[in-house]
Amino acid sequence: MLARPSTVTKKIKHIVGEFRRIPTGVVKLGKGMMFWRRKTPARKFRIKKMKLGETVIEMRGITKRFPGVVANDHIDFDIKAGEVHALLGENGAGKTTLMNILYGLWQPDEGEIRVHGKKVTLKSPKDAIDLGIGMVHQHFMLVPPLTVTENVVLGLKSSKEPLLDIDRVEKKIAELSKKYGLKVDPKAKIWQLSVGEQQRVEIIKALYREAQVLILDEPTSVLTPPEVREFMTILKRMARDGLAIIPFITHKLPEVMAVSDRVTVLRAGRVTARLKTERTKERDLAKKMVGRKVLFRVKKHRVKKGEVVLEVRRLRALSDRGLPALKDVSFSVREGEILGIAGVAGNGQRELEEVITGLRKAGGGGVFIRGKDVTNRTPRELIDSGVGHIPEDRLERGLVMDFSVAENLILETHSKQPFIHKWFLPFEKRWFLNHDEVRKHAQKLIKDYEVITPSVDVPTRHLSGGNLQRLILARELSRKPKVLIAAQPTRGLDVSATEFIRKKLLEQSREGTAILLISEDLDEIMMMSDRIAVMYGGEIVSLMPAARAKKEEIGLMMAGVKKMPKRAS
Amino acid sequence: MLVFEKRILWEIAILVLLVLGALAVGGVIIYIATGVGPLDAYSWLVKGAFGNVNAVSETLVHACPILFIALGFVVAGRCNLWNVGGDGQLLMGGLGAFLAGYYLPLPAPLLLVAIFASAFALGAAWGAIAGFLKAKMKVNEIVSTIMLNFIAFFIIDWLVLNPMRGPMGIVGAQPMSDLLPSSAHLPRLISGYRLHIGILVAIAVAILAYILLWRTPFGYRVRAIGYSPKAAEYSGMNISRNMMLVMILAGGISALAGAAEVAGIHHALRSDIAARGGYASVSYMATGIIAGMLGRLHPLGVIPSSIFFGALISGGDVMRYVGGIPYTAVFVLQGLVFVFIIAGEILIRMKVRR
Repeated sequence: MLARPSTVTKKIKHIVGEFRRIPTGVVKLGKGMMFWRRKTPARKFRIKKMKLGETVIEMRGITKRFPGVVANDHIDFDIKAGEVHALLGENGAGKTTLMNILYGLWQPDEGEIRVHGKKVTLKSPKDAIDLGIGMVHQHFMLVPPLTVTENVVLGLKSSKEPLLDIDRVEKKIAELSKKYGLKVDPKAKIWQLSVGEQQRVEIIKALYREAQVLILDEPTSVLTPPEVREFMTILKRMARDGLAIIPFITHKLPEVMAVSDRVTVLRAGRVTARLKTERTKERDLAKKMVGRKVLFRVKKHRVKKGEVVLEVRRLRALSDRGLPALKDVSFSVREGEILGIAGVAGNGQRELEEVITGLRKAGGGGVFIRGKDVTNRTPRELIDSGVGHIPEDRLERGLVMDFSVAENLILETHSKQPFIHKWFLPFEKRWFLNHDEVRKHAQKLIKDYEVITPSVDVPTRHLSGGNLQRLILARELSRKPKVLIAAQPTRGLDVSATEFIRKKLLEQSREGTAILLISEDLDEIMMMSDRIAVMYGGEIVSLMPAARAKKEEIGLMMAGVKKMPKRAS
Repeated sequence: MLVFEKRILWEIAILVLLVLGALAVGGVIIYIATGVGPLDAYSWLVKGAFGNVNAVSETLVHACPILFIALGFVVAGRCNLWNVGGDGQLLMGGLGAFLAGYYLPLPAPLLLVAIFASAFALGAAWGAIAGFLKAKMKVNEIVSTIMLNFIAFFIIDWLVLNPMRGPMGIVGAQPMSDLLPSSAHLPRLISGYRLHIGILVAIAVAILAYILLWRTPFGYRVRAIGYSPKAAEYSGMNISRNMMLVMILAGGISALAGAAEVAGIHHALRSDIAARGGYASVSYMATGIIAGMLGRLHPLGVIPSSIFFGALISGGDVMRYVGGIPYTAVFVLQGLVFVFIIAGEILIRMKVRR
């Protein structure tokens, strides 16, 4: 005879209850049946319920040094429940370092972090998550073939171990998305979602882990303008509900003004301002962010401009994702001229750099060097026709990190005189590398470009960032290029290397090289260029002589707010 | 400079320790499996490998094909290509060597050159298939080279069973071709022992490979592509062309192992020249790849490592005959060495403290 259904259910409930009640160790099930329940990793810290306006996190005197740079210099930072506290600063100002410290990715050299007034040491992101700190990275950490729900529970213990409890999680996701207006279909696969939706998934992921503090890295850089507006409403709603939110943003000041309650401005690793947003203006923030007077300014001499060397006509190209990244870009650079391309990253600069240097196929239009059509030629042909290139991706593209310093300095010229010679066989073709010449060449260049290295035989890997860039610069300039494409040449470098590289670029332009300077650093563009082009959404929205350029105006154009007639000069 | 010399010494020291570790674990396994004490087993192994002239000769005889295949693996490996097609290339090389040795009416010294050249050419063609697929169609070279191994095996197997079957027919269940004329035999280094000039050729090729990789613009390009294809592309190198050339070269070098086996040992073409000790699954290729790894992907480093594995094989024979330890013990040791060096990578990468 079958047992009555109700008894069976009761029994199951009892077993499950038993199973739940005993957290670890041996679980007895009926007669003699025993299960070993795996120990659930307990939260190291208890999450407290927060009151609005209560200080959640306090960072005091945080200092972090990296070889050659002080990324964070005694920084104080705090965040209260229910506020949006924006962290503002240029690239390399130390925002990422500070937030990575808060997220447990790095340990500070000095200083302390207090959560709810209690001092804590964050050894890993796990500690941070346990404390209710969630981070949404600029580049999302999602698994494309999995669904939203599956991504949310990734790495978490299910309540029905070893089975997944997708239904329950889906319900919870629906709850969260309704509460904050985070519209997303829990059953959708990540690859089907737009970037904005993916960002929402990341936020839900953090909220599902009971995050009370949300760190958002450049949250709007990947969004379209309508998505940005929607996103800001979401942020405000979450803050009203008691969450503490820290977006950190590089450029887009209007967004900071619109969404934040307080702003902390970082500059070169130090706090330059900490203010209430309502009591400030965009202009003031910009000043605080960039500094009143720009440091390490280099002197620019007037250079006589010659004929047109590089010309780009109605250039079109696709991005890696197959979307149009360059839409009819046209400009020309003359001998001895520096054309600066300003713009927020991701507006087509990388594609422009790659098309001109032969690393990406153009989908239309043309590139001309001294009138010769070089569209879609191989990198080799372009190098031979006099193109020098300081790539944005300097560690992967610009150098072979496992090669020695000397070897890296002949990357393009290794099969040319004087680096090859007849060795011991009388071959017609010169088949052997002349190591003496290679080393002599390297010795000379590291002296001229002040590269600090124990010897020219050291693997390049052991050099610091500034020295690596000097090495690339040395190699490219020693080839005496007619055109130089310099992409983000000073990003992330220390002051002395930055100054050195700018000086060398100006020197080179005096010698008649046409330089295309692509940079996110507006100061750099302003101080180096003869003319400035602003790129936004794959187009050149404005092209003007540097003398007539105003920083605020360019800033607005970079943010896509203002458009100027193309034929300004 | 001094620091980097230290680094090499450190690497060698770690590798020796890892190999000793593998042998220690292997000794325990041998003891558990057979009851023979590890010290006894290893003393037979050493005697069998280096105990007398014949032992040394046998060690080098086995080291020769291992070295060729290890070099083929290393040259491709420097371009970040995994050439696991050593067996197929060896077999095609064997075919090339046999065809040249059997049909070409040349005087002895010239004939020997022709044998190696022909073996190289056929192996190069075999490597070129994988190289072409990789360069033009982005077919994973690991998959294609492995598959080509099977194709090569069945081609040779069919050839020696049908059109090329020799008058002796099937010897010990193993079909083989007619014998090569004595002018096509590789000269012996010591009369009365099997050691032939193949080992000298192998060492010469190792040195040439070193020169090619580190002293020529071509080698420079190969290494640049292997380390960083993006930087290589940036600096104007033709990646697919160089990959093709590397696979051609690697295939050719591995194929020389086939020439050594056919013209130096068997003096006939058989389809089992790549297999060792009757175990088709454990081939010279498997050993050659492990030797390549133990030699730290360096053309000169694989010379001692190949001799080490040659010694394992010839010493293993003595362990079997004298100690009654099954020959499979050698495969266990070989596998252990492989596991140890892969697991020991982290130690090797550790920084030398000053």
